[in-house]
Amino acid sequence: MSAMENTNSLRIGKPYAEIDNDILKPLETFPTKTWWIAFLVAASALGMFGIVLTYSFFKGLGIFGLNNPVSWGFYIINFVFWVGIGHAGTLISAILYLFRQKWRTSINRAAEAMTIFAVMTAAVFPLIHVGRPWFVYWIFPYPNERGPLWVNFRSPLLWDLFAISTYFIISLVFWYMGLVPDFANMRDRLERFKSKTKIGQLLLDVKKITLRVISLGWVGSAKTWHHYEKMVLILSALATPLVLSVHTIVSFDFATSVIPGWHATIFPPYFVAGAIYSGFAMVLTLMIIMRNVFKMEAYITMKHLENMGLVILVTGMMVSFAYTMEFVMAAYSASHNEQYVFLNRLTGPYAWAFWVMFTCNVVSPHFMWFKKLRTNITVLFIISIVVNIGMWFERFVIVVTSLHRDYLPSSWDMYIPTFYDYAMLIGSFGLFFTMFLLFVRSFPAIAVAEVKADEANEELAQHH
Amino acid sequence: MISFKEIKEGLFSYEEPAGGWVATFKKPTDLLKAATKVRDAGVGRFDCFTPMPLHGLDKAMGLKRSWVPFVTLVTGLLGAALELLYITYIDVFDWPIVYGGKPHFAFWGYIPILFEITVFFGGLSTVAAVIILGRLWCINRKPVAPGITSDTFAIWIGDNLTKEQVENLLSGLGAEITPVE
Amino acid sequence: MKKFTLPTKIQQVLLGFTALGIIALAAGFAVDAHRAWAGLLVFTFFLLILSLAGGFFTALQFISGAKWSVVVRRIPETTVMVLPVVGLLLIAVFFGIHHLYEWSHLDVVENDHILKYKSAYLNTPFFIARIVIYFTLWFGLGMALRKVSLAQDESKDPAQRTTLVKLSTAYMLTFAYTFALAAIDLIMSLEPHWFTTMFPVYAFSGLAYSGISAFIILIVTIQKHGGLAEVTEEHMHDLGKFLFVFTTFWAYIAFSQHMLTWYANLPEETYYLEVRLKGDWAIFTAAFWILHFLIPFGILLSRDVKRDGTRLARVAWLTLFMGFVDVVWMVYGGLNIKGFPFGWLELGLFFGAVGVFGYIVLAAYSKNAEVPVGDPMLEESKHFHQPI
Repeated sequence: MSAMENTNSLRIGKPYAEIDNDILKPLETFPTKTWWIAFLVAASALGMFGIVLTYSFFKGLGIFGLNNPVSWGFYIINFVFWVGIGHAGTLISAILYLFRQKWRTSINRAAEAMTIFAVMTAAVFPLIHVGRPWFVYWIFPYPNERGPLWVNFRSPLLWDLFAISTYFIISLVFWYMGLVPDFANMRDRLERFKSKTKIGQLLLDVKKITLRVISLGWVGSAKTWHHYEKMVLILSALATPLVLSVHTIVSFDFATSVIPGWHATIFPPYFVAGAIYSGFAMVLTLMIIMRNVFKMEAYITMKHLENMGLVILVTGMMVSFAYTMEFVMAAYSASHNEQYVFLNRLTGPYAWAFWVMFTCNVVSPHFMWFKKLRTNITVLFIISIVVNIGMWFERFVIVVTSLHRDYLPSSWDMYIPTFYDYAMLIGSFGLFFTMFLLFVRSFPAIAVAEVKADEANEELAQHH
Repeated sequence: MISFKEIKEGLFSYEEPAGGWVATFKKPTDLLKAATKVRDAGVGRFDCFTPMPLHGLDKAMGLKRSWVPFVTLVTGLLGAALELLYITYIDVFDWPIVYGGKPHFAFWGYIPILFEITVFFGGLSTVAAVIILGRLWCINRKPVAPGITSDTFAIWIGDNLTKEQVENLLSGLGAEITPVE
Repeated sequence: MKKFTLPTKIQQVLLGFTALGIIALAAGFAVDAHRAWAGLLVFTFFLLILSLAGGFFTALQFISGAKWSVVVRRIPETTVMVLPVVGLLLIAVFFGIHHLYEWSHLDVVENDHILKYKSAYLNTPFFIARIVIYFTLWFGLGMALRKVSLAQDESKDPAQRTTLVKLSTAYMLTFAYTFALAAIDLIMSLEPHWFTTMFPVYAFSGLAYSGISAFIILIVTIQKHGGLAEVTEEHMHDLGKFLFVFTTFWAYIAFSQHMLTWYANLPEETYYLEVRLKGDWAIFTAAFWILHFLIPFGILLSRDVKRDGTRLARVAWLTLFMGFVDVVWMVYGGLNIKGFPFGWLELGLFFGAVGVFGYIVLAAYSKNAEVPVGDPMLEESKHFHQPI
């Protein structure tokens, strides 16, 4: 079987117990100083988010830069941005699983967590944007005493509700079920700990009982694994169209309208490609940080980072293709409104936003053609951040540039974001990173059982 | 198609290890060999315990194909059908209002929601099925041997065999054999 | 190096199909020349997407570094050999340009301000020049891929894979843009007032769908006649998954295009759906959705079907046929075709396309080694099995 020797094998080649130690040890110790600093920064941004949010409830949406033609501003941009970030997690855990890409195992847990937190962050924005968030439950179609007053099932905003909630719940369940074997591992590791103080023992007992409950009494029976593996396959097969549907439906919010620059039938696949693109960039950012802070070089190797760089290159070119098609079609359409919108993007008052987007999204991924650059951590880190800036501006270009010019020139207006808009943007990062930092401290950030499964199964394959 | 008998067997195939012997291994290959031997020896009640899923173990143990996918399909379709009925009742009978010139029964516009509902029901029922089949609601179970969630591979033999018989069965695999109360 | 011998029986059947196609086309011209020209365009475009799908599929395998597909790679590699015939057919289509393309009538363009505006792009000389450029690129890159891969059979040089990956990348990038433009030129400009940004993607989804169906049918046929013993049910399973994925992908793209058109209801866009949902077309479009998506999707959910070559090929025949109907759906809608949009002419042309494509591909395939024997990943591909 020497011919089957995998040339770019990702085998870690450590004993299983050592893998457990590497990944689970940090969870059993007190957090490091770096973690505390990062956490405090994120938490203060989150605090600002909370303050601005409360203030906006008292004052109303008027504190933001919204005006009549630009009735959707930073909120929707942030919403689409965060939902897009969320896509990479499911992509890594589901789509790469279906494509049998083994390199996903080291990063899928953290990426899935990222998905869940990004979707939570995203969901905040439409909730506020409805104006009276305390009535947000009206959007659920249940029999009520307000009429009969039903929701509009033909509205893409309602589709969004269904898509985002389904996506959130399925991702959460998928993530949790993936964690169960690792929770069982943590539970069994805890048996060797004893505390000298009474209060310490109490805390330890609480931890033990919690882990026993959330690990669902997992004992690793082959009969359970048998069904469990099938479940992972099915959930992947369900999550794949689900994740594509989510951003498709987000794109419907725009594409079902008749606003030039929004109504484009290519929006669904274009948004999906963009979501994967920005999501992968965010995973790359987080993985590089995680790798350095937790010293996980053995698990998140250069090969992983390089592969993510390649995904960014491919999806970046897909996004470029969609941009091109929009311009080609506007030129071909002979429709005055279409052509004006696209010309306005290139040369209008928001042209700078377009060119930022163009540089970040269309030009920057091409550095990934070169092996030297995509195996350089500094370059990868910079590109990953640049791509995310570009993808935020893509949504800015779509939302603001299309809206600030109306059919009636008398209603044209500029959109000038206020301090509160920026505070909400920065605050949303605070919310996301606070949750992520708490996650890496309390959950196994690498799927231990899956990493070990790859090791064991490769060993089995060689003995066959 | 799957028969009722198979469903019954699938549901109740899992059993808690009680009595008999547990043999532990340090290598997945040894466990796989042991499972094959135990199955070939005609042992009725046995199960393997591993820290990670092993490819080919289900075949070595002679497990039947999991019928979890049927649960997904049936509940997914059922959920979508119910949702379609619900939407039709609301949009066509209870509250027929024209929005944007669309027909009351706007099928194109229902597809996104129907899709989401299919996935929602299908996905949650799949997880529920695994929890039921794997008896994951019994949270007080104890691992059959220490380390089976970390680096130990174990096989439990529930049939009435003497220690010698088990040793003969698993000879040459470096198994550590202990009884189970 | 084992080679496949093409049985005489298959040859006769495929030549018979080709004859059927020619007869149908000739009869078509005698009965209704307008419809026959449209039929000829459908026939040409269908063969074009089938042969381009081969290059696309090969390039995809190289770029992704897939190992399982090495044993089946020779089939998609060969489809580029059909392109010369497509070239001849395109020349024939040029003769019917006035029957097909409204923008080729200078007097109509003169009185239509939209067409007048578009005439900088949509005019006969530029149209021909563009098609020639696309064609040269497709044929050149496709043949280069095939040539290097065949050369590797002799040289057994593993380093040639790097060349192949580079060529594939070039092919993919070129293909993405040229095929998008070709879809606009050949099909979308049949209704020159209409435009939608999804259309190139829609045409591509049809390409992938018909292409993978054709490969499955070819592989199973070759196996039935003593070839490709290396292809096991594990490979069939992956091919089946590909067919399943492209069926779903087509539905996704088609749904997005149709739903968004229906929803926004813009006059310049929505008439495309309008003509395809009225009269005879109502039944045709409904049947089209059921047979193109729902039935194959339902059948392909089954793992057993995907793993059984015979049953999978049966589904693939349906999807190949529906891939052809898809082209009919796109082309006929804008051309005021009288009567039900699918009749004996189209059926004959479908058989003709199967005959031409099958004959050329199988004849070319039987000249070289059945599998790429020089590929270092061949062994691994032979022993491939699904992890779950």
